Amino acid sequence: MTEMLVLPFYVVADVSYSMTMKPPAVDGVAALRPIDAANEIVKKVKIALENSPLLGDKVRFAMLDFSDDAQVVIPMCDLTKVDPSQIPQLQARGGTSYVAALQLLKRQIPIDVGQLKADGHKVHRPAVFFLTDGEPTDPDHEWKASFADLTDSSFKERPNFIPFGVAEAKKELLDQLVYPQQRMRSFVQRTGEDPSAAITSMAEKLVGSIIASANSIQSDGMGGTFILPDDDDGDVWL
Amino acid sequence: MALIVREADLGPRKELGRGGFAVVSLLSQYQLPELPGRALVYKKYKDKIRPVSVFGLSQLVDLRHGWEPARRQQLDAAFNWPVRVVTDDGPGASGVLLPLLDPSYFVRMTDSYGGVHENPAEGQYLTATRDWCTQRGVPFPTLEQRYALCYSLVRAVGMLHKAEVVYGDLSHKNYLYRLTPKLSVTLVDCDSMRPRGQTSVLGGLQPHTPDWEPPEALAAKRRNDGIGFAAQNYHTDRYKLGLAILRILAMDVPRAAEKRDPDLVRRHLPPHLFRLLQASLTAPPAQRPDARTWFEEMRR
Repeated sequence: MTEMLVLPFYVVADVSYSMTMKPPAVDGVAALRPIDAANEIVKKVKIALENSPLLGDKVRFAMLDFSDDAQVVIPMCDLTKVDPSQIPQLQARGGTSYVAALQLLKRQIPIDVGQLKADGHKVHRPAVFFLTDGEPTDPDHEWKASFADLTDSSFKERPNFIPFGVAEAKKELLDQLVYPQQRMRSFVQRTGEDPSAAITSMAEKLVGSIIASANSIQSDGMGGTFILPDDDDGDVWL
Repeated sequence: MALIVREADLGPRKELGRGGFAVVSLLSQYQLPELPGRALVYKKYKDKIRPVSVFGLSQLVDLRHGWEPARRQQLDAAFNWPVRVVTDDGPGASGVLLPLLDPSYFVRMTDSYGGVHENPAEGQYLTATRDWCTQRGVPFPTLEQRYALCYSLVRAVGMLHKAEVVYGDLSHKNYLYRLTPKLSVTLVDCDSMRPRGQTSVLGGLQPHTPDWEPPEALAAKRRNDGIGFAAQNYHTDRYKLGLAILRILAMDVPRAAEKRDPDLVRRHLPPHLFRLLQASLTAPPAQRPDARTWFEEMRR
């Protein structure tokens, strides 16, 4: 049997307490908390994959969260086969340790890729969508070292890395978390936008990127590539 | 006759959806004299694919306009053909106007959260298994219905080739189907078609959908021949027509959308049609049966 090429996607979500801060209501309509908007990401991805009989086989999805520590919330899986009631919700806790998230990715990715290969798949380079609402609580040299370790050319499974910043996140900082620098980019919310709306926009970008990437795959595993989210709505993102 | 309109004259519009290359919006007030009462959409190209040739798109639009009404009506039923080229202050064409798709070409689906969606009834759903369809409440067509949909697709490609137009990127995402009120298909994304002898203005964006590449394209790819890979002509249309027929008739075969082996549907086809399918998928390009042959053999 032909080996099927699969694309592993990771969403890594900041669950620091600031993600629970409710933005002011606009025109009398209560805004979502950023963490609630983040919880909708999985649902949007799952529904998009369910809408096509062709994509479920090609996409694998995992969600990690981080605050002072990091954990696997949804282990690498075919989301179309997971019952919605079984999908855990993100819960806020603690601060914002990029180091915890980056180190967990470095440990987890080889395990997941190894498992997919053991199941008979060819595995595309993973893609990580990294969502944060603020600056790291780690010293600069520590998170930079963790990121360098994750994306070092000696790490065979080093992922494409696309940071999304909302609320207090800074463009100049998140630009340092882009990998590869020449082909990927960061998406940072413009000042004054509602963080929840930006996360909803991120979810749409992420879904578009996953679908386009999966559609690029040939069944014989000879073709297929990660397709970066569209950058045509500059009114939301820097 | 000027079949080019200015974006500024289109009036209010409401976004319906966006894809990789374009944003589609419903025009709430704009009408065309030859299509009274027919709602229109504006497919606006994203900056990343512009400039798009006004001349090239006009060839397609003008071709349709030049047909006698009866023929135009037939083609309009089988194709979501561009009816005007649109320009703005930017370079080249900003997009095209298209008739709004008939609601019968949408399918209602229920997701695992209980949400209900109306999605364009893309041919990909015909390649889904019965279980997949059942889980989402999507009708699973019978073999007879599938046969009728193949007939409609054959007829559409036949009409197109008779009009000397190459479709190009035929795939399960580029045709829609309906089971009522009449079993039929309609082809979409027709702005990337090309009159024979001309270059497609959009065809270079994606010459062949993955898993729909004809053998000669795959061979060109293996020898790093980009131009050979991208070639689209009557022969590649005929190959993809055969592939579509195979995958529509596969019925309840997992991953039917990737299959290329005609034996998969031998039991579903009378011998004369099975031979046509074999020839479509295995004969050298110039010997692939044309749509007219399919049409006549299916009527036997």
